[in-house]
Amino acid sequence: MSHLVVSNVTKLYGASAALKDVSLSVGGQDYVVLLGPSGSGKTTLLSVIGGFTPPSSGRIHIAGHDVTDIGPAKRPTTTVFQDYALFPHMSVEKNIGYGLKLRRVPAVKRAEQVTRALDMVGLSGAGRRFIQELSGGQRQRVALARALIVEPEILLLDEPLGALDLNLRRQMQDELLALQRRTGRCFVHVTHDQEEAMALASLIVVMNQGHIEDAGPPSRIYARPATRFTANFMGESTEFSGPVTAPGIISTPVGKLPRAAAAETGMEATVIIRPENIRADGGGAVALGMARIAEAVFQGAHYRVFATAENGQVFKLRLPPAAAPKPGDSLTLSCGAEDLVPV
Amino acid sequence: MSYRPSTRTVAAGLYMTLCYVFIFLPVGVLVLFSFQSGNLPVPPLHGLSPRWYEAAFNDGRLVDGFANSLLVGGVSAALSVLLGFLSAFGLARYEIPGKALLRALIMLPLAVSYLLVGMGLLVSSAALGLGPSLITVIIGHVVINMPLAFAVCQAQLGEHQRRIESAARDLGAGTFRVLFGITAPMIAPALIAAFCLCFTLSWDEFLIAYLNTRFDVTLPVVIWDLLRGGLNPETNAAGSFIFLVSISVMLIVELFLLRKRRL
Repeated sequence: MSHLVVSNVTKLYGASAALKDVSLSVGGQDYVVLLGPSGSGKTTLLSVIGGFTPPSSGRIHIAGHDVTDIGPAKRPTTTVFQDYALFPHMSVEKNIGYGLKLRRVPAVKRAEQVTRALDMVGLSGAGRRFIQELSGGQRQRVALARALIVEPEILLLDEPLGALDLNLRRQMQDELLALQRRTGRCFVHVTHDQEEAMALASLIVVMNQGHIEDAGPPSRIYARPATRFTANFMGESTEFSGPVTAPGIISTPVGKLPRAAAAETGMEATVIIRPENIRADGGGAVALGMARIAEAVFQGAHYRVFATAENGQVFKLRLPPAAAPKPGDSLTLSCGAEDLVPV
Repeated sequence: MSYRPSTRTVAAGLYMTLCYVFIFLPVGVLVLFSFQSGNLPVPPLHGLSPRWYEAAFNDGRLVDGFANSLLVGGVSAALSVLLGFLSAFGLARYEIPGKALLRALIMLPLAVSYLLVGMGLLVSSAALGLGPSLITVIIGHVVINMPLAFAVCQAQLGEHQRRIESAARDLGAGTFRVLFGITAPMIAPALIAAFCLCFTLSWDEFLIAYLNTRFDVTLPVVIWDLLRGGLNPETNAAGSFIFLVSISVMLIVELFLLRKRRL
């Protein structure tokens, strides 16, 4: 059964719509990542789910209850804010225990739970310290502990890793995943970083201009994006365009290519392919023709290669370091039929 | 190599010194002659003695005036900060039609002369059948000081603070709890600074206090009366004491504001 159901939510600010008829259904154990560029409406959606922003129309259900008209205080959600929003005049343990205090949990029991929460986020013994003494990563952990201690049905995270440096961000990603598995709660996480989304999510929701472009597991979103926007946002790809000449076939500069999605004959259509799916060893079922390397950039695990065919078609692909590609080298390209994704 | 100041630097230093002498000489003279052992607070200085301080602290009018000033300053500053804080919070956190107008109205008393405020109060309290009293003075001081407290609080209630308040609401806090359990303690240094500012302004204020008091009067009014009786080192002692209280309170403000900046 779906744990969080967003039905036809629209949010208008004057004449402009921050959310346009958004519907979404999420399971109780899901790690959901709302992914999109700034202004895509992902933060507004999070704020609507958390109860901070009332939607102009549409309903929100959490665990079977309609919470649309319930404010953040009574909603079974808690939020980890981008700037953590810790209480600067309270110690770490008072910050973490605040939600329990409001729920009138007796002091002794509260202290036990706070100690357990501190252990859970790896801050054992830091309870008496003040917020100003903590590093960014530690503040992040306090914010997580403070939000999780009240056992919310859904934990909302608003770009929680944005302020951290790269190494710490990777580490916190692992910890967030572990925390989500251990607590068995639904996390909804907003980010504009598609690598972060793929590392964390069990369900990625790609947003653009106030609507959902695509929603699904990361592997599917990356390899088989539903729309061209998703395809571009999730990473590089090579596009082949041309008219549909027969059912399931489009005629492109590199030849006739299979296209799985139905489209009427004569219409313009596009297929895309991810760089790692273009083969230069001649082993693929679909031939893509010859191309000359225009540029090869070494990136550690692979070379990122731009190659151009004589008819002008540009290919973006990856070659192993052992291939030592140089500009001017000639490649015979091919791919598997299933790697050509209609968009 | 030894440093040799240029003529320009010397001239600038001299100019600055003159400015400070001009500003602080009267205060210095006032304080110096409060220790006069003679009977007049004018040169020559006959010798240093605390006798006029003893006289001042034994003068019933001065002591009563001191107590009244403390009362008026404390109550009016507390009211100013409370009202300023609440109005700043309301305007910063809620969508209210005519916000800019409301803000301008709150700040308006800053531009009105104390004479007008004092006369207005006198006339209105008389019309309401209330005689002049310390309560009228307190009201007058709230009128002139509340805009300052409002401005200080408003500067502290930004987006970061709003998210902290949201976090508290998210965890289950109601508006009252947020206001006095989160927002007020969070901006406590600013609230204390605003209180001290309002207190010193009330402590020094003469015009409104003079127009609106009869028998219970504040310290500046007592001193005014003393001065009308002629020059007397006791007045200097009382004035020096007021000055001491004022700068002490301002030092507290500085300490709190400086601490705030370091955070």
